[in-house]
Amino acid sequence: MSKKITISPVTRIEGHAKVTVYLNDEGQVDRTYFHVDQFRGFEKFSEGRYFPEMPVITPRICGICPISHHLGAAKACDEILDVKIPRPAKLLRELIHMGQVIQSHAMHFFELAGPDIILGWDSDPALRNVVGLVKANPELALKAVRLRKYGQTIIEEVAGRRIHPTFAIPGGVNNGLSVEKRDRLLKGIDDYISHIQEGVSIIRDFIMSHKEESDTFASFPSGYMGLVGKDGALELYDGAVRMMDKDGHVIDEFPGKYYLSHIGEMVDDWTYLKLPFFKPLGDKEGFYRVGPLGRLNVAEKISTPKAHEEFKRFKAMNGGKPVESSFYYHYARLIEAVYALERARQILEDPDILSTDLLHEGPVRCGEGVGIIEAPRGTLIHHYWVNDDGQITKANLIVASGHNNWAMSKAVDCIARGYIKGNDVPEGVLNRIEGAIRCYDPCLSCSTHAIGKMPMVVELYDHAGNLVDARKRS
Amino acid sequence: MKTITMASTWCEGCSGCHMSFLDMDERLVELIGKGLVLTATPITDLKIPPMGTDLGIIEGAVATDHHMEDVKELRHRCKMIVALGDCAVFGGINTMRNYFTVDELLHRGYVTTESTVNGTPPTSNELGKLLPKVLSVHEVVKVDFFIPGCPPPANVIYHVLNELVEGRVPRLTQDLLYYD
Amino acid sequence: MSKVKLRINGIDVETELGKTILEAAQGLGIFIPTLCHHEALIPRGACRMCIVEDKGRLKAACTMPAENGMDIITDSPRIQHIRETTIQMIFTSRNHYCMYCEVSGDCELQDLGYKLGMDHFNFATYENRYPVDTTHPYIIFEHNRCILCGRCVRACTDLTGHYVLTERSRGVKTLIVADIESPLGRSSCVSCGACVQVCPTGALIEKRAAYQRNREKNEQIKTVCDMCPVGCGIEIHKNPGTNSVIKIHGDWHAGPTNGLLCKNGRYLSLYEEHQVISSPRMRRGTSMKEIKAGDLEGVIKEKINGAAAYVDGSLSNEELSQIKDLFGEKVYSLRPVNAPIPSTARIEDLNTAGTIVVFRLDLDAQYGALGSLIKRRVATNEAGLILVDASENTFSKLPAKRLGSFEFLADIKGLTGTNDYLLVYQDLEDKERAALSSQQGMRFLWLPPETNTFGLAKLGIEHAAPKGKALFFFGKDIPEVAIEDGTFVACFSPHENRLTRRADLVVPIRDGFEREGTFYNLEGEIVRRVPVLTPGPDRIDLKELLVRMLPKG
Repeated sequence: MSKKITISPVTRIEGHAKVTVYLNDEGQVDRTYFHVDQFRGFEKFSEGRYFPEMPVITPRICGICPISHHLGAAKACDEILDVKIPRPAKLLRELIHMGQVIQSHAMHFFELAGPDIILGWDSDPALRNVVGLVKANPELALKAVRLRKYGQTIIEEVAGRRIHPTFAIPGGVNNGLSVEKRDRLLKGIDDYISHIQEGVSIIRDFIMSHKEESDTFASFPSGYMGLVGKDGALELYDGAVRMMDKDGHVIDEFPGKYYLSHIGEMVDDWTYLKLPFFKPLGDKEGFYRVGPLGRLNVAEKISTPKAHEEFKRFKAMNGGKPVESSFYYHYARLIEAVYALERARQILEDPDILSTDLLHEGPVRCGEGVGIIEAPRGTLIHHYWVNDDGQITKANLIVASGHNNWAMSKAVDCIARGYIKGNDVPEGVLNRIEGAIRCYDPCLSCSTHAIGKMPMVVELYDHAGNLVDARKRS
Repeated sequence: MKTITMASTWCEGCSGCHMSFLDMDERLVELIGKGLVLTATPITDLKIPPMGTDLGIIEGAVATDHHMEDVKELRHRCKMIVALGDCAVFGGINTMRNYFTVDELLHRGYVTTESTVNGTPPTSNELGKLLPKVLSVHEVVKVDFFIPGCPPPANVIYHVLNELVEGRVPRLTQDLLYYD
Repeated sequence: MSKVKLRINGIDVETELGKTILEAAQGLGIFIPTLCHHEALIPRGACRMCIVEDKGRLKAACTMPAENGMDIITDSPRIQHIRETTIQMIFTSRNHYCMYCEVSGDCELQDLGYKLGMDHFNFATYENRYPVDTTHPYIIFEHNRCILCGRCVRACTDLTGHYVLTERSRGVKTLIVADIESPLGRSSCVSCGACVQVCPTGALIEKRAAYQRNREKNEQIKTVCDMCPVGCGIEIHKNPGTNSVIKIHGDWHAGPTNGLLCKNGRYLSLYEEHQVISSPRMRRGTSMKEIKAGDLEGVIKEKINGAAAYVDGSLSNEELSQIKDLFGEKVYSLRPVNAPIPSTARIEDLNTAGTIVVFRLDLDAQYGALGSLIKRRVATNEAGLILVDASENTFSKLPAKRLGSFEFLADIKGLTGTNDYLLVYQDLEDKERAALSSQQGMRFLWLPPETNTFGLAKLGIEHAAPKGKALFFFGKDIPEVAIEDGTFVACFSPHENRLTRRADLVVPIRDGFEREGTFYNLEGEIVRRVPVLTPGPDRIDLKELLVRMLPKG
């Protein structure tokens, strides 16, 4: 009797998604599907808008990383003006970007993934959430909340508000940073750096003490992609796009504006989210991963000291070859958070950020612009075409989590195949399937506090589609 | 202590309103201390709120048949429905798709976008079917209270919940009203 | 002055005959919401927000004159309900997306929504899309945000006399259009910008003002425009965070044009593309080297003996006076001025003259605000218009006599002292001047070619073509000049121009937004320009530099 297992909804991802797992007659996993059930239509309804509106329209794609869209869109608009923005403006934009990375990564680890790691995969579901974390380690929980708040505060102080600010405009930014605000932001940053390093220790210790499980948790070969700066350093704001194959060879490096020659998107019938792939390798072999794992795999170094120290340890985890296990996303993510904090401090200490030279205005000079940036979840691409009067004629967006679509499906598939044996599906397995998705921190990692249990419905159907049995975990 | 149970869901939105909700930071803990009980919300992982839940908070507009069902279900189970954010209250930015047909939207997204290769719009039954027009929540079910904003600031959300928890019906006056 | 007596909210009030209910109420400090009403425009009664009750009957307060015996109520449950419904209908008629609008936070419609507590719509919305017109170089017309208040049409017609905007069709199909539905950028619009200034929503916005509404309150600095000697009163909106000008508004309460501006003052001063001179530079050998501001004095002292200075009319009185002190007699102006007939009229006389003669002037290209004063009276047949040697411009729309100068001079031979003619001109040929200077029945208003032409005259600085071994040029727009090889050329200018590219010494001086100074306006009065932006460290204060160079004591 074949069976379909439905996990709906997958919680803590933006919008609606579900997982369906089809078992064959022997109770083995036949196929899994990761359905993303959301389509907004931004690529069509932006047509006709005046292009400077894009940095304010597109953040409404996501309320967790609006800054990434805001900045990606602004960069595309800069290209339309064919203008190089003043250095102080670039620093301020990068600063709020670091704020977002800090907020997003810290929150995801401590309040989302943390409970699984700190309290255990199979621990009591009622406590396997941030409340349980507060009970088990209140000091750590407090540090976690403060870290999130700090990242948000950078954004609020510099850009005006935490969610959907209007700050980056074509040609620069629309406001400067006062000395008082800068001093307030610098205060205590070293404490935050040590908080995040505690997190790094936690994940690293967990990995070392659960080495085999960590190394095989949804582990599979793939390509990797991310921005790199000079000398192959990790770059989150600006850089060239580097593509690495599954064996760790850099097979391509290109400026973001030429992405169309290198990246294609496939459509699958069972999900609204398209599947990007690397064109030269085709749509069977060309899938790659982005986000922390992808970025740290393609990078050769990190330009800030503490992060770089940890980076060297990370690189050694698979003997110098690309790190493949999905679980290592958590480790990579925290290393990036250390970088973001150190980089934020560098920027705050740069005297240029107090300058009022923040805007280079001008008319439309170029009929299209591409803005590419590393959102916390991966590479984000905004591409606009405009007419001479500055109206958007076309828009193409490849959103960060999209690149990981194939990988998330694969991860779910791996876990399902690895742990589902026969018709009996224990609770811990359901949690691990979600855990596989959580590694990728897709789009909305609902900031938080998973209080309670994941509602899961497992339904058993026969060939005729009759419901034979159902099990609910409430 | 009198408790107020609260459930929430999101439809066609970006989750910014829920993020703003969490931006209440420690004031959320304060509200929980005053009797706010979170039942089925994205932050509590329960899917189905119990019948008779006091407050049902909805973020996002109604754009698919799935959203229609979710919203009706929540109305059925909650005594008071609150529309949170411009999308839920006015339809929000999603209504920019109302000037196009569903086919035009899907065609652009899945066929003609420059990076798409051999695309065709997805048809799986697992996916929600797009309604011809995005609707605000109160075009589908009765809404008892509206909190506009994109997103509504955390202090506005706090004010409303605090009033409700203390047994008063809030009124959004000038400083607490935002359309952006 | 006749008075009328009425009651408003139970209060007995007396007001002048002809005042509206709205004016009477505002005089008492009573609030009545309005949207289409504007202090500088004739009331229209389009938006219906100002509805009040008079003994149970509904009236629009902004257009209804106060009458004896009226008993006005400005607030009641019925009126509340009407206001709530009306504003919802205004919002839902078109598509208002505050979340990404360029003027969110600075919008009268939004403010009224907040004030009235509008927190949802009872009407369906977002069904029809309206055009977005970005064809104009400075202005965007976003019809989705238009509430059809008609302020822009009134500003373009009654106020400025340009008659470009009008309403097409009726009911829900009404659309504000330019000419016969041309895109704004390809219409007869002269870019005076009055429509943008009066628009209550984000329907009409300036391209460069987008998203510059500063959270920490933009500064609004009152000063005078320095693009020509009219010296219109303006309000410069500055973004202090980026030290830049966001937009320029006309000051409705300041003479001589009470808020009317023109393309030059409102837009060219901001949008014209200029290349910044990054720092002072000097030719050493075959290449240009940067020099420090502190070394400038020494460098200039080396070259100044026997040098001559050439100035333009963009400089302030203070700067010109210092240049004179330093260079003595050898100061000349770059542009010749045709010795004019002195003005016998003032700008305000344009508002009363019976016939206006525009003598070989393109008032679209310059002095646009005065052009407005003329146009709006001619368009309503209040004044007659004679165009002599008319330019190809928007004055062609107006009813006018079009004559060549020879015909005109012949025509006016018979004029007497009682004919109320006002002749506006800039340049006259010798025989024209001879004929006109003894002309009866005519007053004259001379429009100088540069902002501080009068300042140059007062200091006795006359035109001469540059010649000599060492030439110092000061000004904004240095014209094409012939210079012999081997001449030392120094150029002091706010931005790169054709001369700076070949000059041996180039010094960036502060521009109109950065410096303080006075100039003589059209009527020979001194007006002061206040500084608005903080100059960068390499922008030299010319006045100060010259003062330092003067011999001590």
